[in-house]
Amino acid sequence: MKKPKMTKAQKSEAIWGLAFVAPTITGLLILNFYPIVNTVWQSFFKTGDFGKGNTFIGLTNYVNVCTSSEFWGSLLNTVKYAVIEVPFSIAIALVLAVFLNRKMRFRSGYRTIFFLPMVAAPAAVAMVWKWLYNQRYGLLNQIFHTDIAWISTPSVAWISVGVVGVWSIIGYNMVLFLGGLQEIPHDYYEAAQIDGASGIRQFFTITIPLLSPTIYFILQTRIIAALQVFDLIYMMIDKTNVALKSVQSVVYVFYQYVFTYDNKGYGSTMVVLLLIFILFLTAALQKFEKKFVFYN
Amino acid sequence: MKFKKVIAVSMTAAMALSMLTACGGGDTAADSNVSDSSNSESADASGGENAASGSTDGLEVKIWDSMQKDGIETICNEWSATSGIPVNVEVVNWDSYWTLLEAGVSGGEMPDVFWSHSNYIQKYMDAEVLLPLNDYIEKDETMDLNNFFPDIVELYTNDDGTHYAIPKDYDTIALFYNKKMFDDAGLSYPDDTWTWEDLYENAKQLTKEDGSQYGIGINTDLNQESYYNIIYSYGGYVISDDHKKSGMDDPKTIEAMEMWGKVIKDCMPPQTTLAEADATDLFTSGVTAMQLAGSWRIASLKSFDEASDWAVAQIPYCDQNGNGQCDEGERVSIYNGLGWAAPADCADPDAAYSLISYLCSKEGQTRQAELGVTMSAYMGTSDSWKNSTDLWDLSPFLDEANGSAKLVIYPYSRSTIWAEDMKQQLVAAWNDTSLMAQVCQEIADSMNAQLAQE
Repeated sequence: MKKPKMTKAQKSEAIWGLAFVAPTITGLLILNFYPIVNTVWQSFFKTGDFGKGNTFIGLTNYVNVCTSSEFWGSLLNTVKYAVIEVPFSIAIALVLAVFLNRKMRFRSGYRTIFFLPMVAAPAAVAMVWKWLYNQRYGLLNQIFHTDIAWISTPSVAWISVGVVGVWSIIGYNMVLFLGGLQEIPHDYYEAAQIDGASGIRQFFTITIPLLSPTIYFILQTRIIAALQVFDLIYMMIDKTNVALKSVQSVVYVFYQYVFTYDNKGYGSTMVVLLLIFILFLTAALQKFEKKFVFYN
Repeated sequence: MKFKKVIAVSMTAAMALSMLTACGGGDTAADSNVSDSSNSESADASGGENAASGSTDGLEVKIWDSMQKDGIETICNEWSATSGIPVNVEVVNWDSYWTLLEAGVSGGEMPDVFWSHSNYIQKYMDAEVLLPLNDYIEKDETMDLNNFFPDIVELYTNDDGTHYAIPKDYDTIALFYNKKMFDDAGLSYPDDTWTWEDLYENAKQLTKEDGSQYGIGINTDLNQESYYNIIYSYGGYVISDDHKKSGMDDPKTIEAMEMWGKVIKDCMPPQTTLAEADATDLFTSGVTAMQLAGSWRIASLKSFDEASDWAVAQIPYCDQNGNGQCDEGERVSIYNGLGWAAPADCADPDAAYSLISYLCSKEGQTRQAELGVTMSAYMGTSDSWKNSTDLWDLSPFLDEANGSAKLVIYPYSRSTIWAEDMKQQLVAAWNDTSLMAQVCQEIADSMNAQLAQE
């Protein structure tokens, strides 16, 4: 089959279009694709100092990572973090969004307040929470008259970190939900009210099904983001913290290997495995999409 | 829709900008050795933001200790006044500093003059990314490396005799104590007759049951200021002289660590507290009565309101032969020294060396001590450091260097990764001091495994 020839106008439109996306394409190539390829490449090497003198060692890094309890431990920690962050941040944000979607006084004020944590730098958020949690001087222990080492007790620390994760992401999820809520036609609710459905019934039979594309989108992006958690843990948990081993995420351990131990090959292997893990998870989620998501 | 447009435009702009800076960085680096006109032209066009690294725009100096910034800046400005080359001193904290420097090596954009440290220097020397200083030192009549502490000179000299940095300073460890707390407890102040056992006994009496006050607080990360000293004063060692074998399983090392375990158990806040609040903060806020502190901390300690309550004594010793007095080798202070270095691909090596030469000259080193920045590596120039504050008598720090203690260079090997590991491994022993011997054995095993790979 012969391709239809482009007219002059079409041609110039295509050229201009390409010209406009060219900065983005080159940016992605240089800043995203090149590093990805390079990371995969490095994972097959024993890396030398300053990127010189790499020696090819095949799958040795993969064998070492897969047989190290540290990697599996950190993967478990990461999943534990995601298990707290994702469902709670979605559930709380959804309820907040429904409340803030009604006509009420100071509505935009509340919306701003809930969104504020998203505007603050994650490092700053972590520093403030670190001091709130401090066993000796922290506000939490002062208020509740307790003496709990919130971020230094292995069995508690992972929850403490998860709570900060939920707190800082609620506002963002809420805004996305508000957008989704406003697209639900009002007629459904009016009809439900005439039929005598309660507010809670309306929420579960109208809001949730019609919002499911948004919920699904947030669920997917949050899982991906939560599995890459690093900054909260890095800032809140000191290197000599006894709870570190039960909190450190895959990306945290990756950072340790690459920047403290200067073992880039090993570190790269860890993130490649994390990437594969996330890919599988996302693929599985996509499969379930048709089952759970209701498209109008 | 308008909103979306604004976001799209600003994101594209941001991306374009970041690309520009990335290209700019590469081109300026190439500019120093490529004379191709088209290449340098493009560098001029896009590399404007890298002003500090160009030879005409002055020297960029990087350090990691913000407390020393003012003093270093003053000395650099004195050099600028005679050389006419402006100097810009920047502080980057310890962890980021090494990340940044490493990125600088790979990306070909390092600061012109910067600090180096025994933990990392060997790697940089082996990769030949630092400016070899031998030729410069030879031509420089004012520079004689015999004036510096030989151990520190050796740190920055490769096996083939190439010098890659000139010593900047040295440090010793002494015991800070809170006079008020000793008075309240009716104890006499620490002095140079104290053994480590004395420290334990006194610290125990200064520890209150209700957790409001402790004798001393040292976390696992303060190796140079605490347990390294004790290990050597008990006759043990951390690493063998040839940097090939761990000494953490040496019986004397374990004896020292067991003694320290008593202190941890009876006189210190729980490790969870130490990990959450900086150990030095616990001393400055009056929770702990004593603190082992390196001389580099003076600059920050003297800024506290409570500083007049404190005093300094020499580091305790271990009476190995039991004759009741401190003999040679029984009092040990670990010491270390930084060096001033320049990158191999420096845009203006002559200027960079000239600045290093001034910083390490007798005059520059004396100024460093006078200004209270830190003790200087140039022997005999540090006495004025004592006068930089009238809050405390700082002579214990200097006495240790002048013969009252044996100075042992900070244990290091080619890449001192094991020291970072040790800090984390010791946490278990801090939490349960009965595990001390076992943990030391584990450290020795993993350390030997790492040393075998170097």
